[in-house]
Amino acid sequence: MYGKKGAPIYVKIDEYKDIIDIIALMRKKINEAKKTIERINVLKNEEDAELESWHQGLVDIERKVDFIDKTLFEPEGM
Amino acid sequence: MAFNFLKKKKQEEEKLDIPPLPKDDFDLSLQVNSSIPLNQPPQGSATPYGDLQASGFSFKTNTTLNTMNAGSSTSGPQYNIGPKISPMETPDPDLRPGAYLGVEHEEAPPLPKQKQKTSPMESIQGSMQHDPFMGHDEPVFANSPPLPKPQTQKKDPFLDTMEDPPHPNMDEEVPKPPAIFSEDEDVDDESILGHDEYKLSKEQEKRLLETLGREKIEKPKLREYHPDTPLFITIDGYKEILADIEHVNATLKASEEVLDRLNELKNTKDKEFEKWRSELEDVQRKLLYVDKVIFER
Repeated sequence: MYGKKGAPIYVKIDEYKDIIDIIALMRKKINEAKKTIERINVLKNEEDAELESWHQGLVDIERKVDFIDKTLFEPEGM
Repeated sequence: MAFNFLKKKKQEEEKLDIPPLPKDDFDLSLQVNSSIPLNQPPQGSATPYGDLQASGFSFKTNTTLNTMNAGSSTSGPQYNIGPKISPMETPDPDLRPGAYLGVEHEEAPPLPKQKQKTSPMESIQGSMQHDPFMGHDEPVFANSPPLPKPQTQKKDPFLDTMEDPPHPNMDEEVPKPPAIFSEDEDVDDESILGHDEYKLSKEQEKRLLETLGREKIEKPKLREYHPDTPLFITIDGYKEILADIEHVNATLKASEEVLDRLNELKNTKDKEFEKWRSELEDVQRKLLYVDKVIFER
């Protein structure tokens, strides 16, 4: 890491400008990915709300079908 | 004509052996006035100028000493003809100034004794007392009545429950607005100014310039790069960069796996939704059949 006398050792970078551009592009992509995740999260919340509504509708339908079944197949005082 | 009696007076004084006085001390003024009728001379006055009075002249002595301004309150000509001696102090009644002119001066009564006036500050000198509350000396008036005691007001239960409003702390400094660009922070121009997220409108740019007090937004300067000359970094930084790149690669691989899993879930969900839709249509068809059978008989 350091030389015998404690002097730092340097590594040469040939494509410094390209690396800087790539890093900037990566930052841009990361910000876009963050926005995409936020949008997916919003869609997921909306989907969960729809699924909950669907579940409530199914429970309501099941209760009504039970009432119809009881009314049709268990007549009173014939 | 008015000076003839002066000559006579001088001759009379020479007869009485009055020593001559210096000229500066002659300040007894004489005012010619016709207010006193000469045909009624004051009784008992042994005036040596009775012949003048008898001839129709009237004289009024102005016995005010010249320590006063002779021209301020008198009218008419004035003549200094006598020594600067108070008439009351003259031992010989004939030498009194009024005696020259036939006017007898009555001895003025002694002035009443007046209380020596003292200034307010002199009256309180020596009675200063240090006031510990005020932090400086306060005068103490010995004869002043005692101060009334403050009236204690009845306590109001409603006011007692009220709390004093918080006292504003004036020592706090006004917080500075957050820095938009830190000088110490090495910010890439592409990451800030080149990104769509950080593009500023004209109004925002104008406000930013006003805030910064600059005429133009200066992009952060990159490290100078010359293609001809080599660029070096320390090996420690190089190793940290390698470790960060490995970490980023691992995270990207994990993200790809998560995306694949999410894609599978999405496909399964789509299949389930399609199945649910077909079953719902089947239930709807059967429900219409039941409705038709029951209510259309």
